[in-house]
Amino acid sequence: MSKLLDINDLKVYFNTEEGVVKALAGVNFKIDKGSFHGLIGETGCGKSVTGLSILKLLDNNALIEGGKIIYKDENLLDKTEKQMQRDFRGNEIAMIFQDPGSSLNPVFTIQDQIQESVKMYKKASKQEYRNIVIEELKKVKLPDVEGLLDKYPHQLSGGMKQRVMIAMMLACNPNLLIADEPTTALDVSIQAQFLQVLKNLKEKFDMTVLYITHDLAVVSEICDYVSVMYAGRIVENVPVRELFKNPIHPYSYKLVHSVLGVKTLLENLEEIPGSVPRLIDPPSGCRFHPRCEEATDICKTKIPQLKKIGKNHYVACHRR
Amino acid sequence: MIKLVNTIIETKDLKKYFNTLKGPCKAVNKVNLKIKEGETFGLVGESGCGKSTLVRTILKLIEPTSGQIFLDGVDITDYKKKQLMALRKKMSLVFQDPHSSLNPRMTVFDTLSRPLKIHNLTKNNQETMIEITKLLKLMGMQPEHMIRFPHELSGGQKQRIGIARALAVKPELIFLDEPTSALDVSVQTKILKLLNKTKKIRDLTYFYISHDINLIRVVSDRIGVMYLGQIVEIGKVDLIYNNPIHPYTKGLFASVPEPDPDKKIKGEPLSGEVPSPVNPPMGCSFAPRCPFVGPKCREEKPQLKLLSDGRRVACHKDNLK
Amino acid sequence: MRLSEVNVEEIKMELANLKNKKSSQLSLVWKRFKSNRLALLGFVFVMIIIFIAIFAPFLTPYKPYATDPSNRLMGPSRTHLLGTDSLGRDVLTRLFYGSRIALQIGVLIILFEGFIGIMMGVLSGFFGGVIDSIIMRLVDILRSFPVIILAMAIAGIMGQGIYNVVIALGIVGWTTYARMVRSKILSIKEADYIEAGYSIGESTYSIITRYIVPNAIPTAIVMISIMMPTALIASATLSFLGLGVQPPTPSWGSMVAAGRNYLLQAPWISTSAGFFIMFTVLGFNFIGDGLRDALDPTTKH
Repeated sequence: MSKLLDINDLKVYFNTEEGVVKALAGVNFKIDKGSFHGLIGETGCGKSVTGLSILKLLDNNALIEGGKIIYKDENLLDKTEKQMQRDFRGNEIAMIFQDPGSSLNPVFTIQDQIQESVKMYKKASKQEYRNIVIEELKKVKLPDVEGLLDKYPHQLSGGMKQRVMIAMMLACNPNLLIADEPTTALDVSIQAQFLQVLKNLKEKFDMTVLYITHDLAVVSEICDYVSVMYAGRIVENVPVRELFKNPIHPYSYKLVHSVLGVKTLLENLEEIPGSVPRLIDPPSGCRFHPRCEEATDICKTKIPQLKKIGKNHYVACHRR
Repeated sequence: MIKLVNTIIETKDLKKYFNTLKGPCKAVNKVNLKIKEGETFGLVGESGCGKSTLVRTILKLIEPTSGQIFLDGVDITDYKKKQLMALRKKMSLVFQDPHSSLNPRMTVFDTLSRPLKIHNLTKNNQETMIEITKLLKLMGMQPEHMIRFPHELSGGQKQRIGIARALAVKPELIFLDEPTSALDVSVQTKILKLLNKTKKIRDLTYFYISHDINLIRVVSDRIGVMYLGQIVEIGKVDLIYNNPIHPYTKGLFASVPEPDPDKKIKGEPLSGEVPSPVNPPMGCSFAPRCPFVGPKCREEKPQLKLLSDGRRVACHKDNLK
Repeated sequence: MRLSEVNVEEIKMELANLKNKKSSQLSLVWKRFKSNRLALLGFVFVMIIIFIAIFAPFLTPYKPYATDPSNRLMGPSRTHLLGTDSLGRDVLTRLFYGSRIALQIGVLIILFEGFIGIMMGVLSGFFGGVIDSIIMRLVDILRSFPVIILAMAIAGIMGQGIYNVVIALGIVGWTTYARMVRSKILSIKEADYIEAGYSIGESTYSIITRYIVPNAIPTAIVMISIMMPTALIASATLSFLGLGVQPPTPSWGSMVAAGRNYLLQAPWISTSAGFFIMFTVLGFNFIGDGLRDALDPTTKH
């Protein structure tokens, strides 16, 4: 399986008034071509920052302290802003966000917005553009596509806007789509429709997707491989089935067993003691050690590295 | 010994309509509900179904448009001012967003002492202190948290204070509006367990509302499914969960992803959009999206019918089990 | 839970802590303000002007109205640090006494505009509906008036002087603050804690006094601190145009105007008056910015 994206020991810090936030402290994972790769973690673990780092869309106060982001043999961190914009954003790597309302330009029609994306990579006549836009909208199974072309974003529902976003991204024909919590703001029935669209796209067009979310259930629904993230580091890289059948890292274990829906009785749900650490002053060594029942001295001092413990299964833990 | 279970809340044909430029927004559209004392009732529905409005109408935070509300058998529909104060002591509400449900200019002490002072539950400062300390300990927090302002607390702690505030009035019934949706997974479980424990200690009745079907399943004894201002199915949780009957309930439950890679959602369980409660369709409000729709469905609104297994379903389909 | 399980000593300590907490909040704000250099500078500027206003008679041997035609338009010298004006009066003295006029007008305008503005803003924001519509339409109408024309009209009807300046500016000026207050109240009303207050049985009066007002105070404070410089410039402008405070009353605006005719011969008159205006306005602006940051350091501009 060829690797489309290889994130190697990525370190990203943020300069804030209160101090330096060590948001990413060594992120490691590889995305295979054609896979739906889930990046799962709770709020503040750094998963969104990881997604933005790939496209170099971080705020001005971000410092890239180290590591590599290798995309098709090139290190994206070495690229200039202009190179990123011209060669990678949109046509190679595209991103959709949580709130479709603020990603779509309210003063342009759907036709115009998608057309803008297409124009960047293809020259064509007005009619040809229209046909391309219709094609893309059909790919995401939007009803009454012709009628949609002249509508404005505010006339669409959240679910439809999110699909338009995908269509817009697809129009550029990217190789990698990064989706950052795309369904968090959607109702469950709309989320199901959206996931179905993604599944169709995966089958038909062999897309590679990095799916960032906090929702384990969604991950189990559409991802084939998962990276579990905690406080700025990846603690486990594992095929999806293995994560649910046999989670190895103590955090992954607790996470999988505390998700609502995995047990029917409240008493049987796991709890993770303590709370997510502030990344201005993170714990030393393994960042999970303050909340881990198995923590020993080495956990407090030495940062655990990801090591292979099974087929395509890696865990960063001193106790495993 | 047989314990007679009281009906603590009953609504009869309860309606709440809002006037909008496009027509009436029928947020609560003829709801008939009975909540039993001591149970945990879970109301589940997607955005716009009216569950938040229903709760606020029952609490009389909003005035009902028509219909009746009974608390412990007493008609409270037209209660005003002084009578409302008595209600505020019997029923309280836990809010969804811990970051905006606490007054930023009040310390934890202030926030928790207000309900005590308003309802004369304590006679002096010392008693207030003692009561607040008890509440904090019940929530698993320390007395020193009393002097904190909301911005000095974590999300989970803020929510605990919100719960403590609801408990301070010593109510019989607590409404919980998506109490954990703004919290992390790891905090969620703790709060739910805390709520469960508190219910037993204080002998309460709970009314949860949530869009999270998994949450409702894990906390409730009985559930109600709400769609466009109406209850479409209501009954014991396991009964409905294992065998949903109303087409919306079926579609909704089938849309929920399970944290099990071997159980995938099949296709698109529910087609179409979540509709707007402004100018809802004639007849059954689910008809436009229903795979089993028939001619009667578009003309006549179905009423909740009692089925043999004890649940109620509002559907015209004849072969309902 | 029995009383014995609750530590009474602990409780007494917390009670004391609470009292300390409230006052420490205030000192926290002051600390933040102090650490802001610009704000401190502004504070110093304003203190200087206030000092000058209070102690003017002791700071200068001259009287502001004492004319000395034989010494008109003299340049800065050891006897007259900023020279004399066209009537031989000491410029520096008039500037010093002018600070009294400036501050007086400023305070009166703040009281007038602030009182009306806050009241209208609260009524509009809190009650909404018809009251809000009426008040906002009134605001729209008033804001379409050209202030200068209005000031001239009022001066024509009521004559000139400090109080008429205040009225002329205040009649339209309150609208800005009503809008600010209204918008702050609207955003406060959106927050869940207001509904939470109702849900535990708070009365409307209590909601306003314990929930809304305390959260609107930072906005009000910042608002007041920007009212001063606005008022100063507005009244100086009116004086400059010949409306409002007139000579011989030493207002900075009219001194700038009077000095206009002698810009080539005696530039120090207009310039120094202009400088005093700028100095005071900057001082209040810096304080206003500093207050805004100190009261809520989380807001990003």
